[in-house]
Amino acid sequence: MSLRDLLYLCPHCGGDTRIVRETVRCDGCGRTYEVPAGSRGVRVVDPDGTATMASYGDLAGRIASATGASTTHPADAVARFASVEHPVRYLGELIGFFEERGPGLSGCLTLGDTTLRLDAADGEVHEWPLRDLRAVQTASGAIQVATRDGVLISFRMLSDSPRRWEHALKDRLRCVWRTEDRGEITEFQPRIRSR
Amino acid sequence: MRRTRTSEAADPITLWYRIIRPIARWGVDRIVHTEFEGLERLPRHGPCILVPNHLSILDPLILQGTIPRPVYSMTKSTQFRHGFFRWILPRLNAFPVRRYRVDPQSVRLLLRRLQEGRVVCVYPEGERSWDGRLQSFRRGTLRVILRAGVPVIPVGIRGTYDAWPRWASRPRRGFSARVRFGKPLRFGVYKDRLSRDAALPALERELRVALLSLSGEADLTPDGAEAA
Repeated sequence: MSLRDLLYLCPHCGGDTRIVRETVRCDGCGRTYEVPAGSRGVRVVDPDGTATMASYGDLAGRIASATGASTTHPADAVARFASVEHPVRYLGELIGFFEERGPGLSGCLTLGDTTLRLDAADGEVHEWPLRDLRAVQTASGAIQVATRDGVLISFRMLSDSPRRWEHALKDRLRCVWRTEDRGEITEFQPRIRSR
Repeated sequence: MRRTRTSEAADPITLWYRIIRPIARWGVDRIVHTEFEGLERLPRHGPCILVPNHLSILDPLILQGTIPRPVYSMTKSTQFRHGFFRWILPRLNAFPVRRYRVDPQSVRLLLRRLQEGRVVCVYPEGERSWDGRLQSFRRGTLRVILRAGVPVIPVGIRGTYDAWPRWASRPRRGFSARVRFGKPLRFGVYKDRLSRDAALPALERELRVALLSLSGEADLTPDGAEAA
C-alpha cells in the first residue's frame, strides 16, 4: 500500500501515475506528489520545481471528477473465493459468522463493459457478468465483490490501486443498472440497492 | 466464568479486555498523542451507541483503550478468519459483521447488547476514509440506530489519518489526535421499517453535522489548514 493507492491519477492532468521510491510521479505532466515527514498534507512539485502543499481530500476530490477516473487497465491480481461461512461462538453464544477463503488464484483482472474477467495464470478464465454482482467493497489492498450465488470474491490488487478499481467498478455497475432499467444505484453495501 | 468482574458501571468486563486495554493504549500512545474532550458525556450506566467517524486503524484502539466502560464493537467478519483473532476478538467484545450481505445476526446481537445496557460502537461509514474526509453513511447502520432508540453519542476523531491513513502500510509518528464526544442525541424508537425510512434523512443530516463539527472537518480550508 502506498500513496499511489489514493493518487492513482494525477489530480492536475488526469494522467496515470507510478510510484518512484516514496514519491508518486505523473507520467503525463511530470508533477510529483510526496508526503514530507511531519506534514499533514501532500507536497506537490510542478515540473518547473515550484512546490505547494495540498490536502489529501482536495487532491482526491480532483481525481474523482477527472476524466478517466473510472477507467482501468488490466491489472495483476490474486483472487480468492469464499463460499463457506462458519459460526463464531463465545461463551456458548452465537455472535456471528465469518467466511472461509480458498487458495489464491493469480491472474490478470480486466473490467469490461458488462463483465469482470480473470485470466488465471494456469490458463483458466473466470468471468462474472456485472449484472450478477450483488455487492462491492474495498478492503486493505483488495476489492471484493459478492455474486448472486452468495460467493464472496476478493481480488488483491498487485499492480494497481484498489481505490481506482472501486471507482471504476461502481461506475460501470451504475451504467449496467441504467441500461437495464434497474434504476439508479444508491448503495453498494451490504448489497446493491437502486431506486 | 470469564465474565465475572464488573466495572463501576456494572458492565461485565473480561479479563482479556482488562489486560489488552492498557496495552493497546500504550501502543497507540507510542504512535500518536491523543487528547480527549467530553468523555464525561458518555452515560455512566445504561445503553448507548457510539458513532465515530473512521479515519484510521488506530481509531478503535484509541476508543476502546480509553473509554472507561467496556465497548462492544461491530468488526468486519474478515478479521475473524485467522485463528488468533477469532480467539481474541470476542474477548475484546468484538463481534463479526458480514459487510457484503445483509447480516441479521450482527443486528440481533447489537440490539441484544443494548438491551443488556451496554455501550456499542458502530462506524456509520462502514469503512475507513480514503482521503480523511467524512464519507456517506450506511443506511443499514442508521436504521439500527432508529430501531434501538437509545442515546447516540457522536464522536469526532481528528488527526489519526495523518498518523496512519488507510493507504499507508505503516504508521507515522509525531502527530497528535483529538477525540471529542458530543452531547447524547435521542432520535426515538421507530418500530416499523416505513417510519424508520421516513426518519432516515433527518437522522443522517443531524449525525453528519455533529460529526463534521466534532471532528473539526467543517473548519478545514481546502488546503488542509485550520480556518482562523
